[in-house]
Amino acid sequence: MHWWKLRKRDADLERELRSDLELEEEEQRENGVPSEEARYAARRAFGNPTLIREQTHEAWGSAQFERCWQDVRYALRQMRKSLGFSAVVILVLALAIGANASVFSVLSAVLLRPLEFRNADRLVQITSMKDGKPVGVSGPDWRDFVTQNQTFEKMAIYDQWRKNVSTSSRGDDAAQVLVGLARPEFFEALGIQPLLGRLFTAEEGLEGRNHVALITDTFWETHYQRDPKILGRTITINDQPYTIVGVLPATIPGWLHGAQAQLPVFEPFVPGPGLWSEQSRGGRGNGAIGLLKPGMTVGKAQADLTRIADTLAATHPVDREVGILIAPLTTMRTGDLRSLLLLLMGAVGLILLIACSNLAALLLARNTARQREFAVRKALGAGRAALIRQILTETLVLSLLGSGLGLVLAWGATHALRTTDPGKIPQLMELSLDWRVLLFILAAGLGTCLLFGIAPALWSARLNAIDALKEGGRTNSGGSRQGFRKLLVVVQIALSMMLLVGAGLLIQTLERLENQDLGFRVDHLIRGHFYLPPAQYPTPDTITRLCDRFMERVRVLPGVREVSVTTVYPPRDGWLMMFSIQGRPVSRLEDVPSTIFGVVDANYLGTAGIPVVEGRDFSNSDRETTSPVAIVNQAFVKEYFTDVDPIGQRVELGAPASLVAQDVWMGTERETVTIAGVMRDSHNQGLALPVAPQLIALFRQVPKVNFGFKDVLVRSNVAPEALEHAVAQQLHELDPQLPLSEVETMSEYLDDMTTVKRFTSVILASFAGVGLLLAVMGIYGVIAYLVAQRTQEIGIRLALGAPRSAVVWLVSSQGLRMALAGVAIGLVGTVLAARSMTSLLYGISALDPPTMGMASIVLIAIALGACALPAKRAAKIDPMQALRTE
Amino acid sequence: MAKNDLQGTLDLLILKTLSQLDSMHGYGILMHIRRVSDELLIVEEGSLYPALHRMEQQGWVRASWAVTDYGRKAKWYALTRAGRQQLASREKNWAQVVKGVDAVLRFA
Repeated sequence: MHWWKLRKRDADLERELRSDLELEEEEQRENGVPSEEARYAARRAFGNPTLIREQTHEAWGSAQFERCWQDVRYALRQMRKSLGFSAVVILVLALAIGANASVFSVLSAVLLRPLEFRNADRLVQITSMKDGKPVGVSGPDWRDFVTQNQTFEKMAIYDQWRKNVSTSSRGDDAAQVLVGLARPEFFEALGIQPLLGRLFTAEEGLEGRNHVALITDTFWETHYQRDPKILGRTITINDQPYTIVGVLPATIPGWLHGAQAQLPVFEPFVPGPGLWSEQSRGGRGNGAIGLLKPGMTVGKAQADLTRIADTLAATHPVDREVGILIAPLTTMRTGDLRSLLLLLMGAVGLILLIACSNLAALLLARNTARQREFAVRKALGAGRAALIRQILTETLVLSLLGSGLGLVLAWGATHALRTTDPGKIPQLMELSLDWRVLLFILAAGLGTCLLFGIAPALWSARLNAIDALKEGGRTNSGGSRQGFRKLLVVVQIALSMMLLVGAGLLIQTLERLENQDLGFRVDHLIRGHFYLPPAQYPTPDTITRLCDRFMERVRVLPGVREVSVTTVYPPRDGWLMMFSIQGRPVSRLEDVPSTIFGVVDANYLGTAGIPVVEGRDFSNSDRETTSPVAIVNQAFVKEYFTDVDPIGQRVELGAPASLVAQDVWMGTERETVTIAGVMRDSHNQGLALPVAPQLIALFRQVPKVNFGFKDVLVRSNVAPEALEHAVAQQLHELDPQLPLSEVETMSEYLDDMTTVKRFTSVILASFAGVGLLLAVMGIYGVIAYLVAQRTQEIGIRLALGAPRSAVVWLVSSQGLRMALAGVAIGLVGTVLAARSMTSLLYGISALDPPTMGMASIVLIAIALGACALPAKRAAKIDPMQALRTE
Repeated sequence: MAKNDLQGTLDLLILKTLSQLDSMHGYGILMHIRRVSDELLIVEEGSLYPALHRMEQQGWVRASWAVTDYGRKAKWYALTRAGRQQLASREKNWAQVVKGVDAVLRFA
C-alpha cells in the first residue's frame, strides 16, 4: 500500500463505515426503535469504528509506518510542550557537536592530512644539532653523509634566499621573493614531476650554467596568465636573466623552507665558492631532506647518520659536538602549532564530556518525571515495545535537531576560521568540515542521547502502573538516581574549572608576551627590507654609498624623525659570529664563544630607541678610515666582562685563525673591533627567550660583512602607516630595480609573532565560556528539579513557620555543595595537567594561585547564580497550594 | 490436504454472499450472513471490513460508491472473475474440511 495513497484510503474507509452505520440506523428505525434510540442502538451494534479502522489499517500492512509517524508527531508535540527542556537539549548537542567538529577539522587539516608527495612516509628532514639547537647542514658534511650512508635512497641539500625577482621584460616590477635553491635530487626525492618542461640537470648546478629556473603552477597563473609558451621565457632574478625550463605543481610546502607560503621560484643549487671545500664545513646554513630506502626505519637511519657524524667529529674539529637529527617530514609540518593543537584537542574533549553528562542529567530527570505519563499509557493498553519506541523516537528527533544545528554551527565556525586569518596561519586556508569527524560526533551525540534516554524507558516499561499512579506522580524513587545526577553536575563543574584555568593562563601568557618591555621603543616605527644584488653593487663601498643616499632621502621626508639602515633589530635574532677577546686565547675550537652579531649604521640605537648605559653611541665620526668600534649589550658584559670594564676591550671577529683558516662570515680575514659602549638589553631571540649576548658594529667599518641584505628602520612623528609608501618611493627613485619589501609598522610585525597564541586563546576562552554555560544549565536543571520534588516538604516547612530566607538557603546550599565539590576536583585536575601546559606558558606558572583562585570564585558565583531562580521560586511557594497539590 | 483457517472461512462466506447478491455494501453482507445462518454466525464489523479491504487489494472484489434504496450513499462490493475462481476453490476446500472433520468425529 503506497503510503501517499494512505490518507485517501483512510478517508474512504471512514466514509464507508459512516454510511454503513447510517444503514444500521435505518434498520433499527424500521424495527420500530425511536429515532434517538436508533442511533445509539446502531452504534452499539456496530462496534467501535476506530478499532475497526485500526484493524483495517493492519490489514493494509501500513500500520508500522503509521505508528512511527504517529510517534514522531507525538514527540514533536511533547517537545513543544516543554520548550525549555527541548531547547536546552538541542542547544547542548549543537554546541558540543559544533565545537568538536570545528576543532577536529582544524586538526585534520593541519596534522592529519597526508603529505602530497609520493612515498611521503619515507621522507625525512635532516638537521644538524649544535648546542642542542637545530641548525642547517653544511656542504662538506652533507657530501660525507651522502657517500657514507647505507640507509638512504636519495639525499638532497637545498637552500632558499630572498632575491629580487621581476617578470616583466623591462625588469622594473621587481618584488622580493623567497627563491628556492635546489638540486635535481631534491625534486626526485619528493617525487615531483613537472607539469610542463623538465627539471634541472646535474650540469646546471655549476656556476655559469645555472641561469635556468622552475616556477610553480600558481606563479605561472598569477604572473604569466598561464601563457602556454612559458617555456623559454625569461625571468629576472637579481638583475640576471634566467630561462624558465619547467613548471612545477604547487605541492612543495613553504614550511620545508621555513616560510609561510609556498616558494614560487626555484633555481639550481649552486654552491658558493668553496662550499664543498673543507673551510666551509662550519657553514651550517643549508636544509637537507632524505628519502629512506624502502623498508628502512627512521631509527636505523638515525643510528646510521649518527655513526657518520661521530666519525666526522673525530676527524674534523669544527664538527665536534655537532649532532644530527632525523625527523619524518610529516612531523615537521606543524612546527610550534603542535602543542597548541593538542591543547585544543584536550579542551574539546572536555567540552564533549561536559555536554554528554549534561545531556545525561537532563534526559534522566525528564524521563523520571514522566513516570506518571508512562503509567497512564500503560494502563490504557500501551505495550512495552510501544513505550520504548516512543521514547526512542523522541530521543532521535531531539538528536537530529541538535545535530543539525550543530552542523550548521560547525560549518559557520570553519567558514569564519578560514576567512579571519588566512595568511598568518596558512594551514587554515584548506580548512573544511571533515566528514569522518562529523560522523564520529553525530554518533557520540546520538549515543549519549539514546543511552540516557533509553534507561528510564526500560525501567518505566517494567514498572507497575498502579503503583506509579497511586503515588500521584511524586515517584521519587530516584534517590540513587538523584545522586547520580548530582555527580554528573559536579563532574561538569570540575571540567569547566579546568577549562577556565587553562584559558585564564593562556590569556595571561598572551598579555605578558605582548606587553613586555622589549628593550626598545615600538611606537611610530616602520621596518622594511631590501637586497642589493652583487651584479649592480659589487663592492661594499657601493653598498655603503647607496645606503647613505637612501638614508639622506628618507631623513628629509616630512614626518620622519630618524632613519637607520641596519641588519638587526629586536626581537629578531641575527647572525651567530664566533669571536675571541684579546688577551683571552682559546685552545679548542669547540670552546670558541659565539655572539649574536649584526652590522648597523650610526643612527641605529637612536632610531630603535635603545639607550646607551655605558660608554658612547656610534657617531658620524666613526668612518671607514677610523678604528672600528663595536657596541655590546648588558648580557654580553655579564657573560664575558663581569669584573672588568668592557669599554676599550678589543674583540676579534671570527673564529681564531690559529684554529680554523676560514670563518663562516669573515672568510680568511679577521677584523678587530674596540668596544666603545654598552647598550641596554633588548630581546634578541624572539619574544619568549631570554636576552642573549649581542655585539653590533658599523657596516662601513667591517666591509667583509657588509652584504647586500639590509633592513631599514624609520622612526616617525606622524602615524607610521602614512610614511610606508613614501619610504618605498625613495628607494625606487634611487634604483628602480630595487624593491622595498616587508614594509610594515613594528607593531604589526610584533603582532604577527603572537598570532597563533592569540588565535588559540580566543578559541580556548570561547570553550571555557561554552563549558560554563553548560555547567550553569546543569546546575539549574538539578536544582529546579529538586525544588519541584520537594515542593510539599517546603510547603510544610513554610507552614510551620520557617522564614523564607531559610528556604532560600536550603535550596542554595545544595548548589553550593555541588559547586564546592566540583571546584575541588577541578583544582586537582588542573594540578595534574599542569606539566603539559607549561610549555605553552610564558611568564606565568601553570599553578598560578591567583588564576586558580579567580576561577574558583567565578565558578562558585555562577553556581549560586544558577540557583537563584529556583531558590526564589521556592521561597515564593504558597504553603496552602503546595500542600494541596501532589 | 484440506486447509483450514478462520480467515479463509470468513472470506468464503463473503464471496458466497456476493455471488448470490450480485453486489452489496458491507452492512448488507453482514445482515445477510446473520439472517441466512439464523443468527448462528454473527460476523464482527472489526473482522468484516479488514477482510473486505484485503480482498479488494487482492483483486477478488470490486468496490464502488452508489446510492441505496433509501437514498443514502454506500460503498458497494461485487465479485470479480478472480473472485469467482477463488470462491469455487474455497467451496471445494471447505467440503473436504467438513468431510475430514466428520470422519474423525464419527470414528468410534
